[in-house]
Amino acid sequence: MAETVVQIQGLSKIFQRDSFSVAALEDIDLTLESGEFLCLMGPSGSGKTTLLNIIAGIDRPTKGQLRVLGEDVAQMSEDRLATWRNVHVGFVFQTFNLIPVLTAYENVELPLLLTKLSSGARQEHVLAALKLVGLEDRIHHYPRQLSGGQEQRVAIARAIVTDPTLLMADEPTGDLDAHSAEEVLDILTRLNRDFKKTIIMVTHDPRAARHATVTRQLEKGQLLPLGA
Amino acid sequence: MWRLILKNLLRNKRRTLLTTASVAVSLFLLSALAIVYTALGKPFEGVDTVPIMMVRRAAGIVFSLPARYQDRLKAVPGVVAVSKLSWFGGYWRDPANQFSNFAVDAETVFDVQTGGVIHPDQLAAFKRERIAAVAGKRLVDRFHWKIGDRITLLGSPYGVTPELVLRGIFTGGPDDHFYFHWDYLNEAMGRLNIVGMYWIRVDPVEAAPRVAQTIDQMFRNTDAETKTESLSAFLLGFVSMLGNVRGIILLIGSAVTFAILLIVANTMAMSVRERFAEAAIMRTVGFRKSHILGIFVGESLVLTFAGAVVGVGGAKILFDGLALRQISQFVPADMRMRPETLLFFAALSLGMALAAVGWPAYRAARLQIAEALRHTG
Repeated sequence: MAETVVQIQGLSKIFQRDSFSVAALEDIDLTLESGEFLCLMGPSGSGKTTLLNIIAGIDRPTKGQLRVLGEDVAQMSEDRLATWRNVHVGFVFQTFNLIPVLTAYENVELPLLLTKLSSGARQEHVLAALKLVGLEDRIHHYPRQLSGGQEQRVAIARAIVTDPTLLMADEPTGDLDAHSAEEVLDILTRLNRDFKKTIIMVTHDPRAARHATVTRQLEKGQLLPLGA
Repeated sequence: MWRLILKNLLRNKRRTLLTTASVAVSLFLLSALAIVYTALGKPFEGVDTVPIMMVRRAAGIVFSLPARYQDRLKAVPGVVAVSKLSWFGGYWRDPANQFSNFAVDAETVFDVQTGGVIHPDQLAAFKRERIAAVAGKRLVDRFHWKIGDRITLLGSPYGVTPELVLRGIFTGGPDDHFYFHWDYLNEAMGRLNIVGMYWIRVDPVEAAPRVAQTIDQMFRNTDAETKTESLSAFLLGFVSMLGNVRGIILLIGSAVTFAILLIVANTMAMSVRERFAEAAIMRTVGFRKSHILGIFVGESLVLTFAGAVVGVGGAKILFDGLALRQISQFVPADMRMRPETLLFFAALSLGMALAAVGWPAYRAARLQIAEALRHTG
């Protein structure tokens, strides 16, 4: 029986902008089982990224219940959340967000610096992650020396190097050409299919959505019924 | 973590280099000021234990005393040696070649000033010959003199130009002094029989206050009253003539410190602001606020301490190497960097590094990740 990874009930997020209150998410109910590949779609400003951030513990809901991997993420302290993210969540961003002064190897190693792994063990993990994304020959390259597709693959390697349960991808193909986008989506699909990673991906791209096992639409902060 | 700090510092090499250089130059200047400030604060360390006293005209050091006082001074109980000491104020060859030159009693000067060691044969030659002179080793080295050299002192306010022969070199004591015969000067001036001051040696040193009182009492109500004081009190008079130099140094030093703080703070503020998004990424992958704070503080510390090592270290090497032992011709001071000054600069660098990065690093560490991520790319 599949384990419930994300369970959301009546979740809302309201941003305060000066004297205005903007409801980014309203009364969201969502359940995600282990091994699912969820695609969140919707127009700009519909609240996709906000929902992703809240699930990942980098933003907090205004109200509602949220349990991720059995933990009440919204109630965790900042420091506990940081450790929790390091262990359980991997992130892939639209703009790759690699550290420009670090090589591909060092970027991937970054989350492991917070663990108690020895240098040798870290190296093993980093090389395995880079091999999985097909960049084992680019370990000493800096981000500026890589193509956009390669940068995003390094970002995926960084996201999976701690072997997290949950992968969050926010418009991972948004800045890529069609070919690179397909490569990145193939990797994500493989991670879901072969390594049983639970993935939540935000995208505008219907072609990207085809790689997901479940697609949900968000509109004006509301999650539309399945199949809408 | 240190690797991250160093990588970030090298991100903008030119900015890091220029900031470090600015800190280094500023701290070099500040170190030089601190050395002079400290030296002025304790210019005569150990001088109070020297049993030497100065007898000068009570009205001021610019007025002279009669030469006839010497015998009466010698008779005061506790006084074991007396020498005339007239500051001559000449230079050698070029006005730039200023040094301390005095007309003294050749017979007794080394009985009073026992710190200087001279070979007996050279001392005998000095006493024997009216145009003979002796000089301290440091002075001899400075002008590359050697025994037998003819030295003419020019530009003295006395209006005479003694033509002298170097007959001896002494080491230790005030080894940048130059002595020649007071008799020669007196004769050249038409036998005015006046003396700038007297230099006396007291034994035991505890007798000094009583000796001073006796001498000043002896000449009270004469046309040339005396003021007898310890060597340190006498020298302090010269320091006070410099005015509130320490206050000015303190003021300049504070301004320099503030300027360094602004330099480092500006660099760190720019560096942190540019990396808000990166800080957010690092927080996302698991770095805690304390990690982010630690990285930025570490960068500021490395930057400031690198500048401090170059600037303060450079000043230490330079001043210790120069071995400057006087502030002016009259004010001796050991102008080396003392251990407490080094400690002060270590603390100052630490304080500046923390003050410069404190606010921006705190902001970066406390940023809302989701908010900062909206501005990435």
